Formats: sequence, C-alpha cells, structure tokens
Amino acid sequence: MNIHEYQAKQLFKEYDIPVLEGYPAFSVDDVEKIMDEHFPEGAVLKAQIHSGGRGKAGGVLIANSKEEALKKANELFGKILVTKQTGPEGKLVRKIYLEQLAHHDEEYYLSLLVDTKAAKCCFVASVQGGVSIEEVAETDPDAIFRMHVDPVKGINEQEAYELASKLELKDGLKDQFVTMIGNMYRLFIERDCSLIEINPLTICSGQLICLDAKVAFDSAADFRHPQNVGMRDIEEENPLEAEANDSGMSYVSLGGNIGCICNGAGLGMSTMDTIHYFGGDPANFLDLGGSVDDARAKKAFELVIREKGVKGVVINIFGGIARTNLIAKGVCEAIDGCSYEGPVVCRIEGNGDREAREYIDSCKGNIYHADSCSEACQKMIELLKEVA
Amino acid sequence: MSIFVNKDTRVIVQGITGTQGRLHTDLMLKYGTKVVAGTNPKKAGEEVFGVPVFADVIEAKKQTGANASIIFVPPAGAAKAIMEAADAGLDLVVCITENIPVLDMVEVHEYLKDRKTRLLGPNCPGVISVDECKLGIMPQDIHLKGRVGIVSRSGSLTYETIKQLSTAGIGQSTTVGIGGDPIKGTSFLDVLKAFNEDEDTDAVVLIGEIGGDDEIVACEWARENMSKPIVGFIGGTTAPEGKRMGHAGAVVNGKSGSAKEKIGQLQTLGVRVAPISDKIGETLMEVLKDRGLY
Repeated sequence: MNIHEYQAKQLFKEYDIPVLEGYPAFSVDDVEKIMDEHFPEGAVLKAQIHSGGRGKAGGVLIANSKEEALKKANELFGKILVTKQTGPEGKLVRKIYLEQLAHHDEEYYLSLLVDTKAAKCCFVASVQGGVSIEEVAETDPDAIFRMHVDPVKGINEQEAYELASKLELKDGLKDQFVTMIGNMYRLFIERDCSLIEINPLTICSGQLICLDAKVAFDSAADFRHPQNVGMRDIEEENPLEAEANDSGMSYVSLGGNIGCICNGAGLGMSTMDTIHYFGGDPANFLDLGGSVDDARAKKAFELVIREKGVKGVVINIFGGIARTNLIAKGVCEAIDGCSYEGPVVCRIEGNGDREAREYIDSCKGNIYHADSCSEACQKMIELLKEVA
Repeated sequence: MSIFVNKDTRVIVQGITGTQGRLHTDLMLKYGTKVVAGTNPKKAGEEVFGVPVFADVIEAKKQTGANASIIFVPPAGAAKAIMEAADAGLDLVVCITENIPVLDMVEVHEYLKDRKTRLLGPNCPGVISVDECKLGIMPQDIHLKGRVGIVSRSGSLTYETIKQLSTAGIGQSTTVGIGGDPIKGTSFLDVLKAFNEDEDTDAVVLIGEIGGDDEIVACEWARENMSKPIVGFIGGTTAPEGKRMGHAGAVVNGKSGSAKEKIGQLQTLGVRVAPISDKIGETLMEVLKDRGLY
C-alpha cells in the first residue's frame, strides 16, 4: 500500500530521518494559513498524488510569496496530473504539501527494500539521484551500490561507512548517513514497509536532507499495524480494484473489452493470455480468491461489468475445492438482477459443475457454455464480432 | 519412488481445528494420506476425524513418529508455525497459508538456513505423489498415476494441467506446487534436482509466471545436468508492467522477468514452451513422442 509524501515525511520525522519543514494543505485556505504562519518568504508546493514523476508533470511549483503560493495552489488543486506512472487518465490533485525553500547541490538516490532473491533487506544507493533508478540501471549500472542487511545482526556499521564512501560523502556527512540508514531500517522493520525510497537525497547547508520521500507498506502485515491502515487514501486507488480487494478478491484493469473472471491468479493470467492469443483484448482480470461463495461471485460479476468498455465476459473456473455451483449461482443472480445484456461465456469445470450448468441453463442472460479456456475465449471473440 | 512424499510419509496438520484444517484433514485422509497428528496449543487431547491433537509439533512428532507437516495457521502465526516444525526436525513442512508478511518470511528463510527441514510454499497448494500421499489442498480425482513430474508456481493452473494430462492418458509421478510468494522455501531448481534423481519420473512440466528468474536458473542447471525433457509454460505473457496479478511474486519490474523474455530464454535452453495453457498437454505429448517415451 502506497502513502503520500507528506505522510512518509511525517514518519521520517518520527524516526529522526532528516526532512525539511513542511505542512500538508487540503484547501486554499490551508495554504494561506500555512504561508502566514511558517513561510512568509515563500515555499515549494508539491502535489500529493500516488505517483512518481510529479515534477516533470508540473506538480511541483515554487512560490516566492504568499500571493504567488495562493495563485499556484488554485491552479494545482483540482488539476489532473499525467505522469509516466499514472497512465493517460492521470490523477486528480486533492492535497498539496508545502515545504520550505532550500538550496541544495548534490542529488543522491537511496532506497531500502526486500531483495526477495537473497531474502534480505537491501539498501540501494547511487550518486545519480533525481532521475529514475531504472534509468540509471540501464545506462550506468556500475553507479548503483547495494548493501544487504543481515536479518539477525542488523546493519553492519563498517559496511554502512563503506556505502557512504562509495557515495563520496565527506567525513562529517558519513556519520549522518550511517545514523540515517539505521533509522530507515528501524522504520522499515517496525512498520513492515515494502519500500522506502528517497530520491533525491540532498545536502542543504551541510546537512543530509531527504527532499522527496516514498514509503509503501506490506499490506499482508496490516493485521499488526492499524496505524498503517489509517494512512490509506482510498481516493488514490482504482475504485474497482479497491472494492475487489476489500471483498477478498484481486482485480486489475487492463483497458480492453472482454471482462475476465477466474479462480486463481495463474489461471486468470493464462486466460488473459489466451484471449490475446486468439486476437481479443481483456478489459480486466478478476481473481475470485480462496473459499469463494455465491455472494462473492455475484459481487465479482457486478464489479467486472462496471469497468468502462466491457462488451462481454469470459468466466474460466477450474474448481478443485471451490464449489463451482455456488460460483455459477452467484454469477447468474448477478446477470438476472442487472441490466447487462452483453454475452457471457462460461467454462466451469470441477466440484459441482453439473449443478453449475443447471444454473447457467436457467439464467435469462445471453450466456453460453464452453468446454475449455480456448473454446471460451474464441467463442467470446466471435460473439463480439457479430455484435460489431 | 516419487519425490518429497510417499506412502510412508507421516503427517502432522498444524492448525487442524480450523475450518480449512478440518476440511483438508478429511480430504487427505480420504486420499489415503497418513495423517497421524494435529496441533493446536489450546486443544491438546481432542480429536479431529480420529486424529489426535497435540499442543505442539515436538510433542506430536514424539508421540506419532511423524516426519512431515502441513500448515493451515492464519498469516499472523504462520511464520512461527514453520519455525516450530523446523525445531522439531521434520523433513518437510508444507505451508498453505497465504498473505504472510514478507519480513516474516525473511526471518523464516534465515531460520531454516542451517536446519534440515525443507519448506514448501508458503501460499502453495502442496505436493502429491499420486496414489501414495497427498500433502496439500489439490482436488483428488484429477490425478492419474504415471511418470511425468509437475512443478508449478500456480495452484489453479496446475489442476488444469493435471486434468489435461490425465485426460490424454499421461500419468503423473509427483506434482509440486512451490507457491506464488516472492520468498519461498523450495525453488524450481530444488524440484528439478529431485525429479532428476527420481527413477520414476521420465519428464517434467514446469509452469512458471511473470516475475523473478527462478525458472531460468532452474533450466540453466537442467541444460548441464539433466537429460529428462522439460516442457514449460509461462503465464502472464500479456500482463501489464508493474501490476500485481494476484500473486505478490508475479510483478514485472521493467524488462527483466517479463513472460516474453522468460519464454525466449527457456527456448534457448532447449525447453519446449506451450504457447497457451490449453496446449501444455499437447506440447508434452510431442516431446514425449520425439523422445520415444510415448
């Protein structure tokens, strides 16, 4: 789960990771108050959306007076920012972070994440900050340094100093750096983060400063971190994906015209691949998840057809333990209870499939059987051609 | 023979008294698996389908001579359950639980380093040696005994593949679900090595996904060390970059680990790759015919 920069910086403050003075604003009135109280000389206005690349998209603006700040805040609130990560639809700016103006020179990159291959936490650092680390990895892989952390012993101080040396930090800054990464690690472990990324890390008046901050939490650990859950901003999430997640399912929007309901991530992905293989274009992908019942299946169908552009729905279920009759029941209830008139092709096999077929036969919708995933996908593509 | 489990495997169910634990204990017993004990610290002395419940794994092992376990404990306690099984010195522990925090798995991974216990999973369907032992949650009636091994990261797609093979009359020796999590106990490589040693396995189906390079590492080893043919399938060819597809491990980050790239590399390593999941059985049959095994 991602959080905003202003929330990440709040956490940084709690963990003594150096950031500039800053305050979140949720309205132009807030901006006015903050400028009056804290930044009469000017401030940086940073749009708070869950995406990188905000600067390039015009989401980071400098104001040298209160008036300028208010003018720019008016422009920024309600603006849709399109970055490399948001997709063409962009993201609406609802919050702005106001931060003190500060001059800086060097820009470094620093992050902490789990290297799943080594099964250890790993710091990633580079002297080439301020640009995307993926870019650096492509153009200059030797400029990226890594430091793994022993899960039992924690950070090795000597290695930490070595990392500071690789970044060519001056002696005084090395101590700051080592203290800082110790605090980052503590934050990472104590709050079950999946990523802490600082890009850029800079030096302002002889102090290391995190100019940007990105923190993501491991949602699997939500059960032990109510305070992490409290930082969720549901407005930043795709509403269909969020709703599916909240019902124990997983959902991905894909942009095509064929909705796709499956049980299991692997089966779902391969169904999507099969649709592509026969020349179709999936609109989304919904994995029903474990222990599915009719209520959840009903919900699943309702979600999938809400996606813009869905013209037909392929359902591919291989029920081992999952009871396919309940899935069919839920789907048929959804079809009979809504205004959706597009075709539905079901490939349902496994535990309870005879009863599942009976539900489908008695369903009033435009619904068909298929005996395999390929047949279902091909059938759907043909049906959509007929409609067109 | 077969790999990891056989007719002599004696099983402890950790979390036997929960809904999933009960359901699958019943199903495993019906398959013929020797489920000899269950654990729940608060319900020692009870029975589930005639299986005695003990307070912990060490006691359960002492009383029953069990050598393997399967875990149905919720995510908050799953890592502890795995380490408990390792402490008891079991040979194999299968962790079905999904959504275990990644940092818990970092701890588990470190803990298992110097111990003999093999972890399968987490977030996996388990392992089955056909007609001998089912240590998992896979449906029972799709299997056919034979000489093809299957190793997979996905549950549902594995059942689909088994069904295809059985329908075509191609039986299986052992099917291993290694699970969809980024940090896991048993890798594709571990399973290929075991299949290579197994005299009852003639060929292997390897079902991978986007994300990571486990499949490549395994097949690089196989090219040098394994003469048994491998047929591959990689799900997620058309997955958009950076999107979670239900499995935490199935994320394409940039170019590396994309399904297309993986397929290309596997083919270079001499693995025949099925273009869609419905053709896994067919592709395997071609390879078996080429090798004179069918």
